[in-house]
Amino acid sequence: MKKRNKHIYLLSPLYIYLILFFFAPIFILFIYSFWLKSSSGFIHTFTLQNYIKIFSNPLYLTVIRNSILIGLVTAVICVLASYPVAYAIAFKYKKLQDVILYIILISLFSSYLVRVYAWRIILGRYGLINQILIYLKLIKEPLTFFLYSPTSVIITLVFILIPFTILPIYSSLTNISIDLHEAAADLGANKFKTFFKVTLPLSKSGVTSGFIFSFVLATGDYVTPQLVGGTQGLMIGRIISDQFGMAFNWPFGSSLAYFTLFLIVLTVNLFIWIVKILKIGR
Amino acid sequence: MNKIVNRRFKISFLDIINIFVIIFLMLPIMVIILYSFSSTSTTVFPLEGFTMKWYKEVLENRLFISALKNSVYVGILVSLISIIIGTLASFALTRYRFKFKNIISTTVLFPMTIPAIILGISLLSFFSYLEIPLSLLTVIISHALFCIPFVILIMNSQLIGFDVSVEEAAMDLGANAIQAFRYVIFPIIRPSLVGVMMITFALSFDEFLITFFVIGRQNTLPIIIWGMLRRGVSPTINVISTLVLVISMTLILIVNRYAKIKTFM
Repeated sequence: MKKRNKHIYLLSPLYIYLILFFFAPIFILFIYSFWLKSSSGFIHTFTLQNYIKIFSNPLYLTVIRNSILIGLVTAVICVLASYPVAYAIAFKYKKLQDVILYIILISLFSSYLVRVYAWRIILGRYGLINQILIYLKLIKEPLTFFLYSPTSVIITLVFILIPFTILPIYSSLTNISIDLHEAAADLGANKFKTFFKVTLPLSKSGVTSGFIFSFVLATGDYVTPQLVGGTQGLMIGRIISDQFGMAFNWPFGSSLAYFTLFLIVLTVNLFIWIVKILKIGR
Repeated sequence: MNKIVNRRFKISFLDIINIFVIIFLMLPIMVIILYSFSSTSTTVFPLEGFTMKWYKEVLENRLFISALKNSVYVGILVSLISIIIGTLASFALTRYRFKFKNIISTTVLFPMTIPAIILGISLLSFFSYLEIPLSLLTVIISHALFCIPFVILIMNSQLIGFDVSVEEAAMDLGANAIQAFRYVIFPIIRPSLVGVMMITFALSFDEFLITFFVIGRQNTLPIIIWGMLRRGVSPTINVISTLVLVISMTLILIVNRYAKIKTFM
């Protein structure tokens, strides 16, 4: 901390990179959302027509609503399922800790495309679950309730995204000193009371970031609904990307992207606000 | 005595949830690896026969080899770019106090938190607006964008515990800034750098959605896998997927050897 402005030199490559390749692109996308498509290309104007179009066709609003709902359900299940896992890794399994963390990391860093595809093999109409059940003579006809529907999208997303919730919750739990548990016990709190008054409030930051991560990733997902979602599991990512592909209506795609992003940010802030007013454990 | 035995073999509700989650995390990976050796061209249970013929087919496939080369090339350059930019920034963020530091530390994480599809179409619009032709270069630029925040996050957690007095001692003994970095700081942070390098390589190697928008005519492995998935199931997908999985797993193994992954979190 001798030279005063040294940090600027260290940060300037990052600033340049972010301004050029992050802020400029999202700004250009914003500009595109006010343009119009014509037969020969794009008309450079300033109009809100694309945004009005979103509200004029119920299809778009329905798909956006479904995507956000799928994202929310996925995030809630992810948090509920990963809390016990994170808790056990942090406090219970001393010897197995490294092994389980390693498994979670392998799952996190192994190709996301491949894992979604694997779930299609497992969940499909002639997928492994149905084949095994038929082989064991438990059913005669393939079960269909979990195929090509929002349910199969949620099942797949949960197992794809669960590492993103386990890790932040685990890391917030490891920051809790074991002394605090003992102190709570000495002061007469039972296990449940210790959990709700000490452990849960102190792991709030991990839960929040895990929830946000899995919600944002699930809502904006593109691959999962296409591979396991069928027609009912259509999500907004597909519609946006179609505007940049076949439909070649980039301006409309941009406005859809911005509108969805706006709703995602709104939902995330709503969640943070709810966590705040709940004042868990106080 | 009885009580002790009971305690040792008691499986709680917590254990059941854990076993369930772990099984379902590993299941997809196991299924893919197992069925890459299946002799039938569809996925049937129970597995019929063991064969290496799909592996042979994939390894003789030119499209696959060129995509593998592209993926490795992109991954190496992405990890170099993001490590240099990210580590410099992390030094600034952990060692200096300056205005708006909190706002800056959250802003730099934005590319990581925005949905990949929005990042992809933004970059596509940007490149097409400036009439930059899509190529592996645009892929490298885009990948580094979301890898840099990872580097910053991990390096921050490493550098925060860094003992500055070692470096000061070197300076007092007459080392200049470059020497102090070369002989004191670098050896200490080397394991973390290797770890971060592997992680950014793995992130780039597996990235699909952003690549999908900015790649142009060339191919990386995930783009090839996606193309095959859209055309229908072929047994070679399992093989390519297995090879991709093995590469990512090896990288994580190396990371764990060099720098205990646990310290990254």
